[in-house]
Formats: sequence, C-alpha cells, structure tokens
Amino acid sequence: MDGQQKHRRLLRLCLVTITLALLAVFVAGPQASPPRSEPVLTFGLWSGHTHFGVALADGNHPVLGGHHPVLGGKEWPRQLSGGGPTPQTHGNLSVWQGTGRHPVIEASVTGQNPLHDCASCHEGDAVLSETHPPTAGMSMNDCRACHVPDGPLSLEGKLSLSHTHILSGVGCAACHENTDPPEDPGTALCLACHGPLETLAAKTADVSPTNPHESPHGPPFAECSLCHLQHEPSENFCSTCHDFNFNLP
Amino acid sequence: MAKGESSKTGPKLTRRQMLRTGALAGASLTLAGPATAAVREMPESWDEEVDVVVIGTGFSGLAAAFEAAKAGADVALLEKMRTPGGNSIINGGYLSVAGSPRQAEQGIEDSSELLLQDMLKAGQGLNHVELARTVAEQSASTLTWTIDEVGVEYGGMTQLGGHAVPRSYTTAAGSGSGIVVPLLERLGELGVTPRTGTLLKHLIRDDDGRVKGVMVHDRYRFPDEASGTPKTIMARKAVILATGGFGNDVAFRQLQDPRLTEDLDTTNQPGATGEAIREALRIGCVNVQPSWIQLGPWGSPDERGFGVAPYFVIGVSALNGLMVDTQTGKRFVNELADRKTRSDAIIATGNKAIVFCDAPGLAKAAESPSVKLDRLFETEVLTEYATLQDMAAAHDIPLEALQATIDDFNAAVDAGEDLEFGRYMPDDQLKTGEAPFYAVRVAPKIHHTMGGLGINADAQALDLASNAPIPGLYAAGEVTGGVHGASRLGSCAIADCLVFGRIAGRNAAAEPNWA
Repeated sequence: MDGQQKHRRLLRLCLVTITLALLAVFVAGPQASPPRSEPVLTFGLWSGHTHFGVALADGNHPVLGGHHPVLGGKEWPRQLSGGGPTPQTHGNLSVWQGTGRHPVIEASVTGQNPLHDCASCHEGDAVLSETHPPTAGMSMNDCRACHVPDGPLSLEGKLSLSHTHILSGVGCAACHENTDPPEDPGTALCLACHGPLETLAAKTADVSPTNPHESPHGPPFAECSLCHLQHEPSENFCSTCHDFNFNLP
Repeated sequence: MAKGESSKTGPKLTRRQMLRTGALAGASLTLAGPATAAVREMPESWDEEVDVVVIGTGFSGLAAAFEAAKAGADVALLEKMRTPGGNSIINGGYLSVAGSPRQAEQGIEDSSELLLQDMLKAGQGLNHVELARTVAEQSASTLTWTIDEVGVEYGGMTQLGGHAVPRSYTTAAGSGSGIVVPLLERLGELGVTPRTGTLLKHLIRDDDGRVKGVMVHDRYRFPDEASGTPKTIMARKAVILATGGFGNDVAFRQLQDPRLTEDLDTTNQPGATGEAIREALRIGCVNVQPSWIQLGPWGSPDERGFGVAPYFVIGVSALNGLMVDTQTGKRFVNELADRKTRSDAIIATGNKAIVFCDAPGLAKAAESPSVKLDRLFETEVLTEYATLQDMAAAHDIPLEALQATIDDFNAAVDAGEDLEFGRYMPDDQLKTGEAPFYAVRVAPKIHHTMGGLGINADAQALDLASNAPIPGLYAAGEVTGGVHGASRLGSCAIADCLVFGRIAGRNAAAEPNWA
C-alpha cells in the first residue's frame, strides 16, 4: 500500500465515521443538534453552513490528510495532558499556580501575546492530526485560512469560544478582570466588542421561527452568556420553553 | 455545627429544644409534625447579614424588594433561575384595575366592590375575602404606582373573562416583561440586583419562633438540587417568600390534584416548582386550598406552553368571535366566562373545540397594540380559511349547524343580549360571518396554583399551629393561597402580586431588628 492509498483509506474511514455521526444526529430527532438550515449569530467570527460529507467527499485535504480527530466527531478534550486543569476548572487558577502557570493564561494575564501553541496544552490529546502544521504563533485568522467558517472544515462547534477568543488575541483577562476566581464578565463587556444588541439582532433578523436577539421578554433574556458559553458547548436557552431549534456558535 | 452542614444532615435537635418547640407551638410532646421539625439550629456565624431577604424575582418579589429598599432596608434579592422574572416576565401583561383613568375616559362605571364581587364569583366563594378585598381596593393605587414610580407603559385596556366590565390594562410590551424590566431598572437604581442562581434550601426559624435567615445554595444550577455552595444569610428584619406557584412541579401538583399528570402541558416556566412551599410547610406554615389549580382555557395543542394562541383567544376571538364544539358546530360556553368555567367546558367536549373570528373581527382586534398578530401568523397555530366551508371541513364541523350558530349569535348582537350564555355585549359588538375566517384549536393548560401559604392582610405568613403570624416571615403572590379561591380571574394575578408584594416589602422594612 503506497502512501496515497493509505491516505484514501483513512479518508474513507473518516467519512464513514462522520456519516454515522450525522445519522445519529438525525435519528435522535430535533432535540439533538439538528442540521443547520438557518443563518446564525456570528459575533463577527464565524457563521454559515457546514456540509462535512459533501466537501470531504470532494477530495483529499492537502494539509490535514485523512485524519482529524476533532472533525471526526470527537468531543472537546475535557482533560488536558499532564493532569492539568480542565476548561471547566478555570475557577481555580491556584491549582495551576502550584504546578507552573498555564502559558496561555500566563500570557493573557500578563498582557503578552498568547502563545497559541495547541501542543503546549494538548500534547498527547491528539486534537490535531500528525500532519497538521505547527500552530505556534498562529492567530484565529490563520486557522481560518484553511478552516473557512462557511466551509467544510469549519471549526464551528468544534472549538470552544474561549479558544476562539484566545486565538483572536482576546485573552482571559480581557473578559475576567478578576481571574482568581474569574467572574461572569456580563453582557455589557461582550457588547463592547460585539454589540450593540441591535446590530446582532439585525444579523439574525431572518432566523426562523423568530429572531433570537429580539426576545419579547426583554433585556434579562438578552444576556449573551445564557446561550453563548465560552468554556463548554453553547446552549439554546430559548429551547427551555420554546420549540426553537436555533443553531448557535 | 459548622455553617452549611445542616443541609446534609438534617435538623439536629436536642430534646430540650424539641420540648421548647412543642411548648411554643402548643403541640403535644410527640416527636413528629411540623412544629418539632420547624426548628433548625442557628448557625454559629452567618456568611452575610442583611435587613430583608426576598426570595423570588417575579412581580411579588420585585415589588417587595422595591418597597423594602425604598424604605431604607438593606435587601438581598434571590433568584434560583439563570434569569430574573420567573413566570411574571413571560406572562400576558394584563393588570386588573377597578376605577381607572381609562375606564373614566370610556365612561365605564366600576368600583373595587364590583371587582371584589367578580373575584368572589369566579372563586366560588372560597376566597379569603379580606385578602381579595385588599387586592381590589388597592388596584387603582397600584396602577398609579406602576406608572409614576416604576415607569410602566401601558397599551390599551380590555375586557377579560369573568369580569363584569372592561378593566384590564395591557402593558405596551404585550407581556409581563413590561412591568418586570422597569422594576428591575428601578431596583438597580436603589442598589438591588437579583442574585440569579441562588436556591433557597432552608428557612432558618429559631426556637423563639422567629424566622431569622436562610440557607441558600450559591451558584446553583437549575434543576440540580445538589449544585451550588451552601451559604447562610441573616435577615435582621424579615424574610419574604415570593417564590411563585408550583404549576410545573408534576409530583407536587399531583399530590394536590392527581388528574394533573405529566401529560398535561403547562404555561409555566420550568422553575415553577414546589420546593420553597415544601420548606415553608416544614417550618410551620399552613397550606391553604392547594388542590385548586387553574387550567388556562386559551392554550393550544398545536404549540408548547403559553405560546401565542392566548393572544388570539383573549385578544380576538373572545371579543369578536366564537368558540364552538367541532363535533356539534355549536357554542357550548360563554366565551367571556371565567377560566375555570371555560376550561371545564372545553374538557367536557373532549378538547374538541376551536375558537374563530371573521375578517372584520381580526381587523378590529389588530387595532390594539397589545395583540401580536404578526407572531400568530408566523406560527402554524392560527389558520386562515377562505370560506366557512373550508373551516368546517378542516375541523370536521357540521356546516349547517355552524352556520346556524353564527346566525343565532348575530341575532343576539341585534338584540343586545346573549340569552343563551349571557356573554358581555358592548355597544359596539361586531357580528360575525364575513370570510375569510381565522381559527385556533384550544386545549386547557396548567396555568396558576390558587392555593398556597396562608397569610393575613399584612402579608404575614401564618403558623399552622397557632394561626398567628410567624415573626419575621412574609409571603406574597402565587406562593400564597386564599386571594383567588377556586379560580383566579385573568389579570388579577399581577394585581395580587404587586399589591401584596408591596405590602410585604413595606412591613418587612418596618420590622424591628432582632439581632
């Protein structure tokens, strides 16, 4: 088996995995993540449609090869390599301080540029394929050169928003003035970059069956963090009471 | 005992305390019962001390917090959910007012006595009259307060089921958010911000009988009862329970009315559960009429929860249309009867009922800013039919009977009186029958729990053992029972919640500091 055959076999395997994953989503029905059919809130970062199957079937990805565990349906890594803190335990930064501070957090807190080296945290977690180019020094825009937001390799739903922010140069301290423990930054801070709310509402004006950024329940239901979670997958808060199948970043 | 431990281990009572409690409550020396269960040891130290703890951020809690803070009290305003407002922020936004400026403008004669009589009639005489009277008598001053002090903007005033005259103000927002949001703003100006994600775990009642504080779970995540961190808050003056009803608590509501199974939909938000009432009962509050649970007659089986159907049923068809049994094509109840009468009647048809109006009826309703017709048409709840035949065919209604029903109603409009069902007929009542037609299927949904904690007209919670007020504990709104008796009239909930919330807040702030 030459390298190209192996490459294609891996790609087929990957496609089968993705197809099964998508089938599982469809079978699970509308309460699971439905296929995207509507424009979504972008926060200026990403938006659009994902058609993994179609695009991957079209050809061989030049950089990733046939193997990309994240796009293959893997959950976000919950535990960083080396027994470090999980994304859910940022509330206890002192844990890190005892064992040497996390480089991204360190850079963020000190105001230096984040290192953006995935392997510095995820070494051994296989979040990237072996053939993925080194990420050190990459920005989110660099990621998007290949992972086009509307394209087949979109990272939407695959990368937590906290990572999107960090890779865009928005470090922890930009949102969490007090990082130990970090407090909920509040909607006003989000809107300082992504707002005003009316602008966001205009972007989602055509979302069916109703505009998620124009709730009749008023400002208490327009708090960003009700839906757009940074350190865990986002939630459709409206679906608590309504049959609104929004897809959201 | 260290702070917070009590939640895990339950009350640890000495025999001496049990004896004292029993003596205090006038109970026998048995070891069971609410009197002995009531006492929870005082924490050795409190994590926080305030004057007044308000639990719940619906109409009652916000009104109570506003009045307490305005009177100078240091207020902790607690909310278990991630958003403030409870059912209030998603409610329909109708406020019942007897003797209002708009009634005067329209030449409608009304009085608090007339409103009280309507409440007692719908409540089948089970209302605690002094409480109902308090709501009726203070409805007009409460309206003034919402406008002058809170900054609420109103749209129109309309006629709701069970009311003898039009008296229900509608918020310009078309929702209770039109009151909740400005109240939150005013509270913010007073330095009071709701602490969301804070669950009441225990009311702390000392063996002198007084409620002296609460144990909560901070950073609670609904519905995980174990989530969050235990924290004690001392209430130097009082605790105010404004935790709402239990319409969405399947187990607790079925204890009260076994027919209300999980199959029945509800208009309530998911947090409308009974744990706060259970805790209040545990410390010795009394449960009043808990089996009277209201089903809203304007729900639709074609959508979840409150939805948009009520806008059509209340704002359009009840005024300018008819409700018919699809099996007979006939009206079967006064479309403007109280909720219980209508819900019972719809259920008796086997939920085979539609409400409808014709083209002029819809056009007239559209004049009201509070009727959200655009939302109705965006959903599939409301259907337009080009002809009466089409509507009859779609719902399998006998056409001739349906036409006869329309003819009979139009004759009643001409006569100025609905002899068949006694429906309120204003001078400008429209006839019906001009295509196209607009229809919604209806099926009652669990909406309001009339029963709850016993209170007096000062909003003091009553003690099961003595029927006397429990020192340091107030309650207001849907968590209480007695105001509405067997059935609450539409638009009387906001009046009840705001009136008793304000009373509770004022009285709590005026309590002596026990510490």
